[in-house]
Order: sequence, then structure tokens, then C-alpha cells
Amino acid sequence: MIWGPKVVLRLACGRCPCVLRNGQILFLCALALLTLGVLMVTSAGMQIEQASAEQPIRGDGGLSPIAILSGRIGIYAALAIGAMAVAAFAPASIVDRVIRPRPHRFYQMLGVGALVLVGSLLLVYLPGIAREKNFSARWIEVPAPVLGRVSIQPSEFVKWSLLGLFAWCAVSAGDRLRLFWLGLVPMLIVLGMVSAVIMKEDLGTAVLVGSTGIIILLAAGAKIWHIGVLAPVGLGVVAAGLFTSEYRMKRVTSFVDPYADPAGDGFHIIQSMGAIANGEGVGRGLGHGLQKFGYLPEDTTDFIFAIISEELGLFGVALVLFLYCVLLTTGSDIAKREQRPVARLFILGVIATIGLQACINLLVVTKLAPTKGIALPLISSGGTGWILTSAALGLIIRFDRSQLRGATDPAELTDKAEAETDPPSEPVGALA
Amino acid sequence: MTGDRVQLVTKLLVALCFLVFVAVFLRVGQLQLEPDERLGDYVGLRQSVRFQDPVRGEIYDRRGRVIAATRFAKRVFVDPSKFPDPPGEAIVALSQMLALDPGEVGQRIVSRMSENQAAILAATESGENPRLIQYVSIGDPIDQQLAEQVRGLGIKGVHLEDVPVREYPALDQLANLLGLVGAEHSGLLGFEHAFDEELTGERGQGAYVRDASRKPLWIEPGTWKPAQAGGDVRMSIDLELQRIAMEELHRGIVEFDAAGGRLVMADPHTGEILAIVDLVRDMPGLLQLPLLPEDEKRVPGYELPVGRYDTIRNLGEPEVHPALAKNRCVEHLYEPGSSFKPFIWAAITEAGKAMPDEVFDTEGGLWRTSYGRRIEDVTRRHEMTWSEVLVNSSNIGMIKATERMSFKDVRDKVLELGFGKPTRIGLSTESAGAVTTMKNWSKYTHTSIAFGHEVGVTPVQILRAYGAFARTGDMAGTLVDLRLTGVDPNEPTVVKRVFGSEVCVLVREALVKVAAKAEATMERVHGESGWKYTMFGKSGTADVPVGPAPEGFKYAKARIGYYEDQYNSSFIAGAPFETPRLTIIVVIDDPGPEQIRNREHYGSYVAAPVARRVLERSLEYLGVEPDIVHESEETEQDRLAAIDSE
Repeated sequence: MIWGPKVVLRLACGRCPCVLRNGQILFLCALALLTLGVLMVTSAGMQIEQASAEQPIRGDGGLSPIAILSGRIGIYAALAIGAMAVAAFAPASIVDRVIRPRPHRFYQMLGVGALVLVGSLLLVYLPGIAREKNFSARWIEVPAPVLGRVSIQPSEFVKWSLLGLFAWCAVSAGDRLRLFWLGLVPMLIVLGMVSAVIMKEDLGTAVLVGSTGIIILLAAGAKIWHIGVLAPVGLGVVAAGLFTSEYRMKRVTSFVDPYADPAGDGFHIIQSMGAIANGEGVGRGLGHGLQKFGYLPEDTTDFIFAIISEELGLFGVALVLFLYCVLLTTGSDIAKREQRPVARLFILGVIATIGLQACINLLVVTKLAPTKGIALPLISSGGTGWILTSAALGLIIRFDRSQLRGATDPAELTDKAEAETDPPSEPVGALA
Repeated sequence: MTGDRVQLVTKLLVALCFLVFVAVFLRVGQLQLEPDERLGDYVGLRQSVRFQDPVRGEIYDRRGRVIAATRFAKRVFVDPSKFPDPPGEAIVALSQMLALDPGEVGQRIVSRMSENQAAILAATESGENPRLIQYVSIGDPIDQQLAEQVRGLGIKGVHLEDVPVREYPALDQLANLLGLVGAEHSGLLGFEHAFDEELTGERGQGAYVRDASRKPLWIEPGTWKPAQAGGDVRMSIDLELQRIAMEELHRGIVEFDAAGGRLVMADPHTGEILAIVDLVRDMPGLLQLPLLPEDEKRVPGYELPVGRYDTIRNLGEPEVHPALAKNRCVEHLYEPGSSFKPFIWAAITEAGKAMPDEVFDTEGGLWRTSYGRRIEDVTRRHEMTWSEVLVNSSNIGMIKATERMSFKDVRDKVLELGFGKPTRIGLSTESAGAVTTMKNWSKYTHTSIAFGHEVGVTPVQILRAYGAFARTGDMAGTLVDLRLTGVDPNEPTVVKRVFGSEVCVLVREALVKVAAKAEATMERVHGESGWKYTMFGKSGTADVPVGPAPEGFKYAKARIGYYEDQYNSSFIAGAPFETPRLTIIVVIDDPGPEQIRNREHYGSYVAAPVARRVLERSLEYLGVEPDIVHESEETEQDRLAAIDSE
């Protein structure tokens, strides 16, 4: 079987009486990834200052665990864990009511959802709160308590909200999804609209959102040939997005031969590979990376993986990959046991989002794919990303906890789940 | 919609992600373990190496007085890329503070500023980072106080750096012995050069890792090697003796209107040189030998202008810093004349070719050799004992005795005494001296060498040889260079016996008489007497040979051997008689024409007083017990003793 990492984890927990539940494993994985994120973002953001007569070396030794945890990064991580907890412990009645499919409200919800999503995406153009960074308008800035002004990426919200909307709509559509015009096309139109608006500023996220949407539709039962017929349209739009933008084209050319312009277009990817190579297997040691000192751009965000490779070596890389593997397998295991179709699709959407995002990021950083600015889930610095991803994982934990209800022994639950060859086609009724 | 579908899609998705993860892991492994060669430039430490110059060792005299020391001063330098623009006011303020010409300072700064502007312009066109000039040094190093004032001006782009400055507290006394340190704080010539390796120490260095903006981040562990300060060197020179020697030599030169003088004083027990002085008087109006280009024909019957020629400076020699000037005590050869006679005399006596009381026919002071060479004595007598030959410096007697020796024996003895090869006291420009080769050793040479001609020696060479008489016939081989402890402990002390001890006593006895004659003259001329130490010495007076013409030229007159009526007068001496503590050679270069007219240019007349005075003062300074007790003192002591006993 492909569930290797899970087997390893199960073996690690052994036959001890308190075998971890899937939700707990998921939580620990997320926590581990977040902790690694805090550590590595702090390391990558480290600055060395020269002591002088005016500024002697600080007595506190610079970075302390307290300083890290009480800093901006620490607060974001705490908020993320908080969001995960809130979602995980959300009242089951509310959750169940929300995920109950309502076939008669299909078009209605799809329309309203699309309007809300597109509307919130357009906030980035609203004067006053819009904030442009790196020549792209992806952020809005709003005042927040404690943290001062907080910049938020609406596309992050949309990314996760769309999952919920799609999972709900796909189930609510029921058999209509198998119909081209009445079921699939309306949903694809919404997906297309949202992706198109995102694509204007952020091709990577648009591709990610589009792909997850399609995956949900496929999993929900949309006819493969329907989607196959429409695939060229989607690819065409992506291609158009690529060829109409000079900088995106440069990224492709610099991917093919970065050494043609090592100080210009090829700079970023060469520095990234340089950082990875610096690891030399065993890594330079935590905090001892060199590329973060002005050589590798975006070292705390999209290219954090290069810094991990540099400082922690192959071990660190293996740890990151292992944690993602566990996250994905545990998620898929929860999905497998989930009886409620909306929840199943949502879980699938979440692991697809996290998995694909991680894949794109890793391929880019290791130059297996052209440079594309996309964060490494739960690790790359970014408050919105951490909080929303954690919240999504929290919901999965919520579903896992609901599954437990009624099952007294986890082993029995496993046996039961494996005994079921045919998952129920009907949604489990509301418990409230 | 079916559950299978969801599960299938999930499995496919997870499988896809796993594949990607495996690929990524392999890729990272490849990058880390077998990176692309082209990546090499972008991998690893971005290091710069910074050097730390060692502090140069200090030079002390034999008693620990500082001769050369390094201190640190501040030098002002300007970063033209940060300097105020327009720079006018700042330049005026800065140059006023440093007491420099604003025009010059302005020129230095403004020219670099415009170069920088051009570089920026060129860089904006090519899109590269401009390479700017950021260092222009201004003026000489300044002291701390002035440095503070410069800092107080608060001009942007004006910085201070620490620079080592070599101080020579005793430069006046040691000028052409010391040498100097150059731009890289390395020794040029002289002592600074001779012991450069020891004085320099080792340069420290450390690699520091820098960030993308080239700012230093940290020193990579294990790369820092601190500079090793240079070792201190203690010279055998005694500054006080050096001062006495300079004073007296200067007095002698002025007194006899000489063009220059040389003096070397040594400790015969160890061979250490205690003082080494070379003075050249500034004498305008001296003639230079007329030169012709090599390919031009000489005018037949051309006669040289009559007058006093410059016998010291070669034509076209540039003016240099005194510390870089020649040290003629080791570089310039001279013919020792009669002061060479003790060596030949001792060699002949040692060989048993003449007995001290053997009587020689000195021909009334005028004689022709067997091959017809005319020889004259200053002291004209018909007969002299072999001892008297040396005391009276009879050329005739010396030649007659020398003819009893073979060419080879004489030449071998001369070489054995260390003539013809450098003494290697550690000064790089030392001459080897000149001894005629066996092939060219003629009857003429054999005659000449008897009275110290046809042999070129340096004052240091002859003084070392003379040390044999001050000892018991062996040459001081213990100390070979100018350091106090210059001998290599692994090298056995080579004491070379050149004469028997009886012969040395005989020579010393004869030379005491020579010195006494000189002292008598001194008392007559200068009224100086009452010496406390018995001196033994030998004077020498020799014509000054004309060296070869500068390259590409020839002298206007062919075959000029010596300058007409110009001499080097020397006196080589030691004291006290029984256990000599000091030996000294004084060479007075070219005593004035007045002296020569009055026949007062001889070594015993012009060089002996200098030697006498220096020895006296030096021995007193060294606390050597006098070996002459004067009657007046005796009576005084008796009187005091008498009073005591009463």
C-alpha cells in the first residue's frame, strides 16, 4: 500500500493503549509544520548587526525563545493554532447544519457564493485598504487590535471558501452534476470567474484554485469526458495568462537556462539552488545558513524550503516531506471514513489544496518547475495563510471527532471502516 | 456521485503528491551532494579575507636604549563618494585643519569625485553596479589630538585610520646604519633590511563571511590567525659610544678641513661593533673629474684642472635620505697605507724571516728596488732594527723584509686576515674588499703591499683583523653581525688563530711607541695630554685612488691612478695595553690642502687625535680601570693617605 508514512507512525505509536486518532495525528502534524515554520522563518529573517560604541551587543543574546514566540511570527502561529482549535471544537450541531446538502438551494447558493467570492477578491482594488506589494495587488490592509495594521490576502480566503462552496454545491447538485449544461457548466462558470479574477494578480493561486475545483467536481461525480472537453479551454486561459505577461515569460526562459542571465532573470532560481546545495547533505546547521543574508530573495516566504535545505540538510527536507505525507495520508484516511459527502469532498479539497500547493512550491524551489510565487503551506511566513490553512485542518479534525461518536474503540472503528466496501451513497443525517 | 470516486481521486491525488515529494527529495539530494558545476560560483561561503599587519619589532642598542620603535598614528582619508558636493568649503576646512595646501587637497579629492561621477554614469548605462573610489589619503599621519579635531569638523566622507609610524629617536647618530622602513612597513637597506625577517613578525589574517551587500557578518571559525608581532632586536651598537664617536670624528674633520671621515669601534673580545660612523661634509666647490662619452676621442695633451677634487661622491649620485645613504664603513674601499704594516710585519716575524732586533739597512730613507722603483721614507735613517722599522713606519725596511717572503705566503696571510671577502656583519651593501689575484701578483704588488698599497679594504674589515693584536693572535669570530647576540647558538664559535701571542705582544709594544709619538704631536699641537689609558696604534696615509668612470663615460685624461695630493689618513688603535677593551679605526678622508701644504695631513696627525679622544672617553664611559697613573694623582693620593694616617 501507499500509506507508508502512516504505517511508520502507527508503528511508532505501537500497540500502546492510547493509539492516536487521525485527528490527533493531523493536529500534531500541523503543529510540527507550524513550529518548523516559526523556527525557519525566524532563522531566515535573522539579521546580524555590528556592535558599535553606540549600539553594544545586547545582553539578552538577541533571539530568545520568548522573543520569537512573542514576536509577530509567534503571534501568527498562536492565532493559527487557535483557529485550528476553534474549528476542531466547533459545535457539531452548527457544522452538521451547514454541511447538510440542500439540493433545491443549489443555484441560489452557487450564485450568492460566486458574488461574495468575486466581490471580496475585488477588494484589493478598493482605494484606501488596497496595498500593492511587489507590483501586484494581492493584499488589503485593515486595522487590527494588538497587531496594528494587518495585511490580508483575500485570495487566501477565497481559496478556502471556494472549497466549502464547491463541496456543498457539488453534493447539493446531486445527479444534476452529471448533466453538462445544468450542473457542470454553472459550477465551472463560477470556478472560471473566481480563477480569472485571481489570475490577474496571481497565476499560481489561480491554477491551484482551478485544479482543486476540478478535483472536487471529478470526485463528486462529474463526467470525466465533460471536463476533458472543457480542459483545453482552461489550459488555453492559463497559456494566455502566461504569454500575455512579460515577466511570466521571463520566468519560463530563466527556468530553461538560468545561467544565461545569472545576475538578472536567472538570479532567483540560481540563488535558490545555491542555498540547497550549501546544505551538502548534513546542512550548515540551524541559523548558520548563508543565503539568507541578502542573497536569496523571498527567503522567509516562498523560498523557505531552500533555507531549510541549507540549514537542516537532507534530514530537514525529509522531515518536511514526511510531515506532509502524514498530513495527506491522515487526511485521506479521515475522508475515507467520512460518511457525509459534503465533508468528504471538503476534506478532499483541503488535502488537494495543501498537497498541490506544497508540490508546486517544492518543484519551483528545486527548479523542477518554472518560478512561481506560491507559499509552502504552514511553513512559509504569512499570517493569513497559516491561520486559514490551520482552520481548514481544524474542520477536518472536527469531522474526525464526529466520526468517533458511537465508536468506542478505535480498532473497532478501523475494522468497521475497512469492512465497508461500499461507502454510503446517502448523506448521514443531522444529529442535532 | 459515488464514494469510490472520492476515494479514487483522493488516492490519485496523494499518489501524485508522493511522486512529487520523492522527486523533490532526490533533486535536493542531487543538488546537495552532486551540484551542477555551474552552480559552484553561487555555493559556499562568500568570504573576504582581511589582513592584520603585525607590529614591527623594536630595535634597541646594546644597553636597551630605543633606536627604532613603531607607534600608531591616525591618517586622514576621504571617501570621495560621500564627500560633500560642492566640496569647496569642506576642502578648505580640512586643509586648514591639517595645515595643507587647499589647492593640492582639492585636486586630489575633486579629481576622484569626477572619476566617480563618470563611473556612475557609465554604470547606469550598462546597468551594472558602479565601482567607486572610496579611499583617498590626505597628508601625513597626524597625532591623536589633531585627529580629534578633524573628527570634530564633522565633514561627511572624512575618516581616520590607524597607520604604523616608525620612529627613530636616534636617527641623527645612526642614520646610514639604520635604513628605513618603506610603504609596506618593510625594511629598506641598513639594519631595518638586514633583520627585516626578525623584525617584521607575521601577518595575521581572517576570513569573514559577508552578506549580499558585502557587509561583514562573522569571522568563520578557525580562520582567524592573529598577527604575530615582530621580534625585538638588540644591536651591538652602544648609542653613547656612537655619540662620542660622532662628536669626536666631526671635530676632527672640521679641525683638519677634511671632506669626510669614517670611524668604527669594536670590542676585541667579542668582535662586536660598538660604534660605526660615516660622516661626509657638505663642501661646495669641489671639482669633479671631467668626463667624456665613451665613444668620444680624448684631446691629446689634455691636462686636468688643478684643484681639490671630490674624492667621496661619485658623479651623478642622487641626493637621498640620510638613512638610505651609503655606509662607507662597509661599502667604500680605501688603501690603508702604513696602517696595514703591522699585519705584514707580524706575518714576517711569525714566519721567522726577521727578528725584532735584526738591523735593516734603510738606505738613508731613499732607495730604488731591484726593479728600479723609487721608495722614500718619512723618517730617514741609515739603519733601523726590525722593530724600529714598524715604529718609524719605514717603507724601505718593510719592503726588504717582505721580499724574504714568497708571493703566495704574503697573499695567503692577507686573505687569512679576512681581507678580500665581506665580514657579513649584516649590512646588505657591504663590499668584499680587493686583494690582487695570484695571477696578477707581481713584484710591484709585493712591494706595494708591504706598505699597504694595492689592497682595498673597508674600515670594518681592517678593524676585525686588527682585533687579532688586541687579543692574543686569534681573530674574534664569536660575533658576526650587528646584533648583540648575533651568533647562532648552533654554530660553533670559530676562533681563527692568525698570529702567535708573542708576535702580538711585539706588535703591540711597537705600536705603543707609534701611538706615543702621535700623542706627543697631539700635546704639541693641541696641548692635550694626561691620558689615562695606554693606546697602541698605527697611522696610515695613502693616496686616494680614482675609481672607474661611470658607465658609458671615460675620464678626459687617460690613466689617472690617484688624485693628485689628496689623501686618506687613518689611524687604527686599541687600548688599554694589557687587556685591550676597545679597538678603533679612524679614517679622515681628504684632509684640507692647507694641511697638506704644511705636511700635517698624515694619519698620526689628523686621525690619531680622534682615535685617542674617542678611546679615552669611551673607556671612561665603560668604567675601565686606567692603566696609566699620573704622578700628580699619585702625590695627591699619597697626600690624602698621609692625612688619613695622621
